[in-house]
Amino acid sequence: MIGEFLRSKAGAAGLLILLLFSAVSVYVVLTFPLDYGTRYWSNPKYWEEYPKLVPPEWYNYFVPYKLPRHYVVELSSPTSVEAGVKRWVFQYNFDADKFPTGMLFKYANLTFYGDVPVISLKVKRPDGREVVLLDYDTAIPPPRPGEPQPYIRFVDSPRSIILSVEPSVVRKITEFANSLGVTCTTTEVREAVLLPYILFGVPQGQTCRAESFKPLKGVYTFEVELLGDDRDSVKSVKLIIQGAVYGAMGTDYLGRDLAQGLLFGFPVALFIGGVVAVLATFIGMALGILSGYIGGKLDEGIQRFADIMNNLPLLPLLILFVFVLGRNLANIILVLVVFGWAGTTIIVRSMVLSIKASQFIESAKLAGASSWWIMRRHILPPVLPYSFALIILNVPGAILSEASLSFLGLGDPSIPTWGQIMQQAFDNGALQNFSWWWILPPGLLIVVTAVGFVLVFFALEPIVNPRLRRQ
Amino acid sequence: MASLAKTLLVKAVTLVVVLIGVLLLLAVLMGATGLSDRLLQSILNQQVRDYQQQLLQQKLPPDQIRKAVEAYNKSLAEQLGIDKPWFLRLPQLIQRLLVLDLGESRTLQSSWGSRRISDLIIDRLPNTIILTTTGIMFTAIVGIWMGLFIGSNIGSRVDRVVSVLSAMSYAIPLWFMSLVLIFTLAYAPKILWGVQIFPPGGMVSIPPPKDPFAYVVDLLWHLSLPLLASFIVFFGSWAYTTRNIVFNVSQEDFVNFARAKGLPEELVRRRYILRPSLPPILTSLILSLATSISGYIITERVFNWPGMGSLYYAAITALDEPVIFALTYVFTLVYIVARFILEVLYIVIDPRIRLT
Repeated sequence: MIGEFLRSKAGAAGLLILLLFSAVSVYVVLTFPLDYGTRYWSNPKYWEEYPKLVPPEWYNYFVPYKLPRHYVVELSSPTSVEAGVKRWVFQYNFDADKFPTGMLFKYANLTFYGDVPVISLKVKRPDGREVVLLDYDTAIPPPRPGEPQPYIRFVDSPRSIILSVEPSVVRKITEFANSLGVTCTTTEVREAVLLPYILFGVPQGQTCRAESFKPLKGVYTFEVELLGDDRDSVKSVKLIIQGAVYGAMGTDYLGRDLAQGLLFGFPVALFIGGVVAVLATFIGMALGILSGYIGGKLDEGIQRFADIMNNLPLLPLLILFVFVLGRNLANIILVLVVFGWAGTTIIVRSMVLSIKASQFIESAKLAGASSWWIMRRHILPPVLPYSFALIILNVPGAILSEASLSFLGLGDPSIPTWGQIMQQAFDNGALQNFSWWWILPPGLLIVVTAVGFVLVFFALEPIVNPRLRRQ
Repeated sequence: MASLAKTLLVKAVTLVVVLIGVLLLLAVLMGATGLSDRLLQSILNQQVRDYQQQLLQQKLPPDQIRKAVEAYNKSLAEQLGIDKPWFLRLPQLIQRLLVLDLGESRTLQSSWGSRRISDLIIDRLPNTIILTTTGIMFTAIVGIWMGLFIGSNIGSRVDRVVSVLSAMSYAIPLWFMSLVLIFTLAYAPKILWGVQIFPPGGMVSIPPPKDPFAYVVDLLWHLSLPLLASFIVFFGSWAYTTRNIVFNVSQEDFVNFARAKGLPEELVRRRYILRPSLPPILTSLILSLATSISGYIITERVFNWPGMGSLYYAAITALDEPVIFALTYVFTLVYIVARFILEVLYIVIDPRIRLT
């Protein structure tokens, strides 16, 4: 039977897809925390360091220019220590044809003994110019009256400075732009996020816009200085230069790594599809057997009901139910099962009718078997293999319905799914921004999953349905 | 003939029972979860607050205001029906719907500012018919014609292509295909080469052209992508279903017998194969036309098309209970009417039903 299945190329291809997707799901379940959705995915703070809305790294192979990669370096001990001055030095080799998208400067666990220390950040450009981006950090809370020494700051959440919006930095970089001969105001620099262009570029024109700058390639040296008491220290200093490409699948508007969201979608899709299909098929099969074997009024009733359920415009009802009951996974599954059993009932009933007419049923009846016994021992076994195939057919339907609900914003907000990623992409202008890496992959994954199940069903059907067996 | 009338009557009664059943289900759903009460309460509070503000501005004595507000609250609660529990309130709504009194919406308005639900529907229905109904008609007719052709050429190359297409149409949701088309045919040429080949959405350009001929051309231009998407997604399944029906009929003994009698192949095809294939094909066609009235909710959203689907979605997000009820009722009603038309049609086109 397995040989017969594998002889069909489509079936083998479908099976391959399903095995691959199941393997990915197992990997994800083993490596991702279960509360990934609430703890990381829907927590914008977690994605602060990531570049926003950038394509995947392999995009560089398809474009004639080179986009800068993401740069993160964290130093825990100072590069050099002099009397009263600690220095951390970062080397950034800028060799791309386009500009980075942003910069962050972070430090944690600041310990000081006397006055508030002076923390500064300056950069030496390859053309020899020096720019002081930050001459002192004003956001360090001074010692409270009566607070014992040493004073410790930024332990739980590190001090994080987004350079392109920090007012003092914007002022400094605007001065630098003016000294290069570009007439900019601080408002223009802040609103158009010009910091990376001014910092990493040489001006070609005088107007204040991104196009006026050409990248200046070479090694940039960033120096962080801590000026204060000899005992003052910082546990870690982090410099992030957000690239214009990121990771395997790029990032979305919050900087979320889409590779992670898409990976998490694998087990979720298979889980929803699997649970709904198993439950709906089981209910449908039970009703189909009852309807076909008992017959009469019961048959008439079940069949009418199933017929209507099978043809009613379903999506409005699905939307309404999920909306009223609440957007969570259990409700979505419940609603999909309640509206998903009818097709199976109709098919199973017609199979039961033909089985019921055979002579072994007749003889079982004459031997005094009860209806329950006959249904369980004589009707169920021949129906079971085909029901198994129907489960496989019902999986993609459930996955697609869940994706549709999610795309309308009715998905479970605590679990990232492919449909939800598409919804966020659609609602936040992924089409207008041409963010193909954001809106297309989740949809393609949905389609490929569905295709896998459909192919397996098509290959399985002639094997389990005796009437379709090739002569 | 009498038995025929009786069968039809039984069918009609069952269908009406289904209609009432769906409405009851909705009523219980909205009532038992407390949604209906919450909705009405918030409307009540809002209006009472407005009334109070109004009185306060007239600088009346506080005691008098309190009394007036209380009286207003009571009369409004009675008017909205919130003083009664939901199971007393909702049957009224069902009864009204059954006699086609659709009532007024809470917030949604038609394009000319009317809040009557029948106006809302009149406003949106033509748009949906332009989009989904023409889409289905076009796709189905081409698909059925193709299916009739390959039904007698099983195993040919076209047949295999159609089988693959039909598997695809089961796996690709229409809205995703629409997104892909909008992306590749509307936005990509615009952004990469600066030419607008297809519009990214909407029903007509803004502002709409004045000249009626230009208006129609503009509408067709906006219609082209949705039609293409629906054709790609549904063509395969129409062709494949038709092919299967035709194939099954052509395996029947009476077809073999007709051939054995020496009837010309053309006659066998027309009279012995196509004729008995007609009822099931017609069934799928009429039922999909009926369900198309509910619109493609997601696809209309993707294409920003102001049809029934978008209306339903807007009603749900705006929590407009009467609109939700009325629309669900109308969708179900259309479906039920279609089922009944089918029952009658079977009698006309299928002599086997008429004669037993």
